[in-house]
Amino acid sequence: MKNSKIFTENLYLHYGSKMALNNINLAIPEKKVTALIGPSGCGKSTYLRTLNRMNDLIDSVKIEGNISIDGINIYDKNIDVVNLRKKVGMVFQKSNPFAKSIFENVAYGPRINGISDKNQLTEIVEKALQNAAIWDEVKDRMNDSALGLSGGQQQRLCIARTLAVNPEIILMDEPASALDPISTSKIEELIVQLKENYTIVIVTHNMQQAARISDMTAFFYIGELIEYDKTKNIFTNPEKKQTEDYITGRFG
Amino acid sequence: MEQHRIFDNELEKLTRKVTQMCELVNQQVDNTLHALVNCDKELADQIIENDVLVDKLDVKIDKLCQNIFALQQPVASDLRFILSSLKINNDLERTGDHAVSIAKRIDAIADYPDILEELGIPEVCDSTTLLFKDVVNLVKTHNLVLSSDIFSNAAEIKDKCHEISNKILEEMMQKSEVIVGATNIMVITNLIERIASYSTNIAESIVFVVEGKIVKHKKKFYESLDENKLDEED
Amino acid sequence: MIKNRKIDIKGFVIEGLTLSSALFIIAIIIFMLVVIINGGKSAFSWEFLSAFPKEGMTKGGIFPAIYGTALLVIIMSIAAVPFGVITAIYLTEYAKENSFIARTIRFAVRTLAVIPSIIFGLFGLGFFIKFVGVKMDGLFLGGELKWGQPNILWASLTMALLTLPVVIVSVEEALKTIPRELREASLALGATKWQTIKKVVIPGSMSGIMTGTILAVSRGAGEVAPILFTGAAYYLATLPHALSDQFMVLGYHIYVMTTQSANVDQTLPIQFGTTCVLLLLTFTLNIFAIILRYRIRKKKIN
Repeated sequence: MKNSKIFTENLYLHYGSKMALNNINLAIPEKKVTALIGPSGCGKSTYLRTLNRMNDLIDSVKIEGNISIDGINIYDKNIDVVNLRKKVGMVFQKSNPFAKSIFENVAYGPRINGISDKNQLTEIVEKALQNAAIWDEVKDRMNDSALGLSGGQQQRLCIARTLAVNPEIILMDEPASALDPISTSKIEELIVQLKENYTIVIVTHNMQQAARISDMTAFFYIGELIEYDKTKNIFTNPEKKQTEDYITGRFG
Repeated sequence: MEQHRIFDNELEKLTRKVTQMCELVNQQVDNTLHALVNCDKELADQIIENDVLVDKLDVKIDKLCQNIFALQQPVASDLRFILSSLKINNDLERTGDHAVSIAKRIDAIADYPDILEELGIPEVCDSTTLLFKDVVNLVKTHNLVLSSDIFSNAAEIKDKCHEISNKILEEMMQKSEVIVGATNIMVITNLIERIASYSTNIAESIVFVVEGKIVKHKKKFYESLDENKLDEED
Repeated sequence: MIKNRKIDIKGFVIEGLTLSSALFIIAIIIFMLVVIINGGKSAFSWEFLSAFPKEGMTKGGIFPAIYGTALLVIIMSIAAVPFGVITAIYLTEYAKENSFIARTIRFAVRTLAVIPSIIFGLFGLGFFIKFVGVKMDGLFLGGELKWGQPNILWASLTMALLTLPVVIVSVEEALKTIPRELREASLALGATKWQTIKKVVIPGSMSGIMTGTILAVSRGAGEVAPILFTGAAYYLATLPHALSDQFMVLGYHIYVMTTQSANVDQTLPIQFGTTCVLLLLTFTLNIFAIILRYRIRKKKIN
């Protein structure tokens, strides 16, 4: 496929002796939203976490195969995982702001990157909050604790925190699953806006969400990639029976 | 708080396409009625050619609606709008087909402009043209004031067409030599009646979009706005 | 069926028994407090807190014992807290959950926690004084006796060993309250493991670390056995001013007064008074720790 940002070839992943991903081949396009769907335990989150090597934190994980971003194999032994994660940001299921002020939450990434100039930090933080569509809601209380924000605001703050590191790819692990419908639609709208500048990969249990916001959809089932196509095609005329059964709610 | 939604773009696109379809079919109807009155064979050929455009747009709108249904799960006014768009699209496509059918018969009746005149067909054509203009406006503006005009005008046109048909039948019974020509005129009259009928359908769809009420099969809707009674009839 | 209510005699009896034993414990505590406060209140005065003992410790104050206790817990904390925090960080952040080394350390910590405190005293005497101290004297002072005898440094270090398990366990608990999501959030932003620990984990568990420290201090303040052979003195006319000095301490002072005093009856108010001070000290520290713990729990629930 043209303009692919992330190439996955023959990816296998084991937790101890249990196979979690079985021969995944996937090309994720640049500046598009790619949704990973499938029933619980299908491997979609596991796959997502291979893209910023978050699985490295788990002792028993064994990975074979290739994932390359911009043509560089991210499992090469010369890869600096810390730099990889700056390029590939991640937003989690549960909003997880630090017990710090709103400002410090967003400034966290730039600070660990060695930026300490107050003006520069302020500028980065402001821009990130604007891009995450939360600036207007927090601009007057930058020094308040981030824990005082609502769930939806916290999640957008977490997105701002990710944007402040200036990544190229944003991974989202069910970013709206714990939110009410209004907050959810705000996040979805934000995701659609963000795809102009970022490549977004999103795991979601909510098929309608995948349908609404994604350009490409990958359906995972028991560690395998069953079908990967344009979202339009997946939701109007899937090729595989398993995909059809899943998206129509006949199983899973 | 009013919020821009992801699929507002899609809905706008659908609105655009339906309007475009409406204008295209209006042009076909306009042209075909004009060609009929003036026995313009060239214009008739052009109408037949243009039907491809109508068909293409019809498929496009169907697909767009399918995608919106599959990807956006529309509800409430959005749902009504898309359902109605599908139906309006269907009605417009049929109207377009009827326009083509009329155009195809112009050649056969081109020699009897006097008879058309005598039967009062040009007047029916004029009112049908005006009727369809109203339909286009209604689809564009959703201004329900137009819909009551459409309902009454369409009913008039239909009555007129029935009259004409009866006249033709009488004529045919008296003079057997006119049967071939008269049949063609009769078919054309029926097609015009159908066009008026589709206009009513489209207007009903728009009422459904705006008010969420199903008014088809309820002819007296605008005469007696007794909602309770209507609800009971459900 | 529903109306046929029977009186549950068994349940009634059990409830009564459990309640009365609970009340019994409260009664004991109140009784103890009343006796101690009643006995000690006549001794309480500014002089009691600020003066040296006089006339063979039958009169005067207990200032050197308070001072010594404070010094002991400070030095002990300086030794035990960083060591304990570092160990706890290793266990929670770096060691693999079920690795041999982590299990060994945990086993050692648990064992350390159940060793009787007198054994620590003996260990302090044997290791710090007779081995480390004597070696130091031999190496640096040409055999002159300075470190090879009981002093406040060895006593504090012995006490630090005793309190180390308390520190490690409570700091470990505090670190575990930091949710995995926060660590992942930090790592996902491109932070290194150490940056994550330094900027997210430790600040977030600061109150837990404080609790551990306070619990350790309050435990140390009340213990006598570990310092019996390693530095506590019966009576000193001066305050300790070097690490190699001996010192007086509250717990030991009570013991001395009740068992070694020339006239036990005459010193009774002083004994009770000293007990009051020691109790007050440990109570205050414990209440402080309880408040901090409560705050952590509240945070954990949120």
